[in-house]
Amino acid sequence: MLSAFFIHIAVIIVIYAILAVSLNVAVGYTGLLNLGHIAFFGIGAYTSALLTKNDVPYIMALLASGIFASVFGWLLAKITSRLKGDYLSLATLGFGFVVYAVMLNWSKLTRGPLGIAGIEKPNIFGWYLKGSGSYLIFASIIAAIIIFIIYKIVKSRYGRLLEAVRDDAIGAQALGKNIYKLKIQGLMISAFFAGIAGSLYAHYISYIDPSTFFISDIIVIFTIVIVGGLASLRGSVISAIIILGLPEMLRFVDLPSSMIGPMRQMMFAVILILILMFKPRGLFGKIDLE
Amino acid sequence: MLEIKNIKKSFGGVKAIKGSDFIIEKNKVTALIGPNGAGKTTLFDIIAGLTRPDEGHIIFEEKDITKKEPHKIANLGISRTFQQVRLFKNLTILDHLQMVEDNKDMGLLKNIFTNKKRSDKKYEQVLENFGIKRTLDTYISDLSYGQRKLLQIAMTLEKSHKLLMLDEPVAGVNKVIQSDIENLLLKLKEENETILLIDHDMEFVRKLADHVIALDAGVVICEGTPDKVLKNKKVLEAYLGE
Ligand SMILES: Nc1ncnc2c1ncn2[C@@H]1O[C@H](COP(=O)(O)OP(=O)(O)OP(=O)(O)O)[C@@H](O)[C@H]1O
Ligand SMILES: [Mg+2]
Repeated sequence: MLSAFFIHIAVIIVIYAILAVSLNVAVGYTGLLNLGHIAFFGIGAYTSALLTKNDVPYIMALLASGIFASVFGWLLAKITSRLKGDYLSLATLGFGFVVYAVMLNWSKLTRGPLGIAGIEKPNIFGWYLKGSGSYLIFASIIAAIIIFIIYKIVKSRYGRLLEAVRDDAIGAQALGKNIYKLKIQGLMISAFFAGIAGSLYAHYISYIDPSTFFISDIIVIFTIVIVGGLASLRGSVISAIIILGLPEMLRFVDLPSSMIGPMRQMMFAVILILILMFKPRGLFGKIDLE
Repeated sequence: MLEIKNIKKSFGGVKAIKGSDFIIEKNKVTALIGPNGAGKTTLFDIIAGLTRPDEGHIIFEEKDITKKEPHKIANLGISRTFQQVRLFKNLTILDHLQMVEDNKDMGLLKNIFTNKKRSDKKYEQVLENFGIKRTLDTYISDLSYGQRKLLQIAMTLEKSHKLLMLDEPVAGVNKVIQSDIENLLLKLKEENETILLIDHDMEFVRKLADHVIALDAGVVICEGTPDKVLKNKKVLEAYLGE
């Protein structure tokens, strides 16, 4: 029982680590304060669930969820290409709401608030991921690949350009760099991996409904990114473990079950406030945003 | 090489440029002078595509570039500095020097899979040439104001270019760096670079410029040789104020 519980928490941490690392590409590296990141997570989850329900092989569905999410990343980037700062953030928040509303109201496709149940467990060339143990291994492998790819991107000369756009977009333009293209690509990369995380989530929980992807959950992902530090991949991963793991320890303290929920929320807030007060750049962050 | 044709620009109610017309000739140093708020920087921004003019045209090498995007204009060979230095504060000197080298960094896939070896020697030589006594791995946030200014000039020159536009390159730096930069500009003149320069030091303008254009409210009030323009009554009045 106990180990099953730990494995469950570990799977969730792995999925949120991918979400946080991918959000960091947009926010920390490219400087796009995207408050609608969770929409990409949702788009990935629904894409994968619906495709496999229609007999598309799991691996194809997994890839499709990334590709479909990044198409929406492209769309969001196009719509917001001339916006900056607060206006950009507001528009991305709006995007998150719209995607949520579509999931809720396009009942023919998404079954609306009823959600989609019975999402199959992945079968990867004969490796049937029935138990949570094997799912943890699979999700960890995917996460490792994703983090490796993102690491290669941000450490490359191309990654430096994303950072240049973040630090001074006009200065980057004066050097002949197409900042519109860079912003679009930054958001597409970010969305792609969030979509993959969505697929991993859907096939793990095997049931999704719009409430999982409501905009308020972006706070969790943002807390992970900020506590870990902007533009730090290691920070996002370690922070996901702390932020999602620590509150679970409450279960082992003798508390009435009605207290656990509120206590968890409080710990969350306390960690965020402590970090903002004493280490505003986060645990591993090296950069300041304006 | 560059033609400014009847450029007008207002910000809200402020008519910053009431109508500018002039020509920058190839292999010549042209100085743009005028009192604070005369619209010199605004003209630079319009040429670079950062600010859209309300009226008029910018012609660069016979092509109309008025509506082109800033990065495209930069890639045509217009290389500039900013009055307020624009560098990337969380990146290193090396990152900056690599960025101006070419646009190969724009390719996502090519850059993930190829790991180009650092050619430190070349970049260290640039730092030495420009008198920046820091290592390549120094972050911009650790540089002094003068060093930032030098690095920006170094980048503007290292970037492949046909026309250099320098917005007050010596403003705010100490006397030593100032004379370094001025000597560098004199050398560039000897090398026949095409330069458009904004500067407030009239003695230096006299020494460096082939042609001087005096602006007030974005209108050319006098142009010609340094001797002619710097003696002109309207120019002196504009500088001394009403
Ligand atoms: N983005 C802007 N918004 C509003 N007004 C502006 C803007 N940019 C410039 N101005 C105004 O346009 C006028 C010209 O400014 P500009 O910076 O071009 O002058 P300048 O000749 O470069 O002056 P200085 O010698 O002080 O650098 C000024 O009155 C300035 O206040
Ligand atoms: Mg100016």
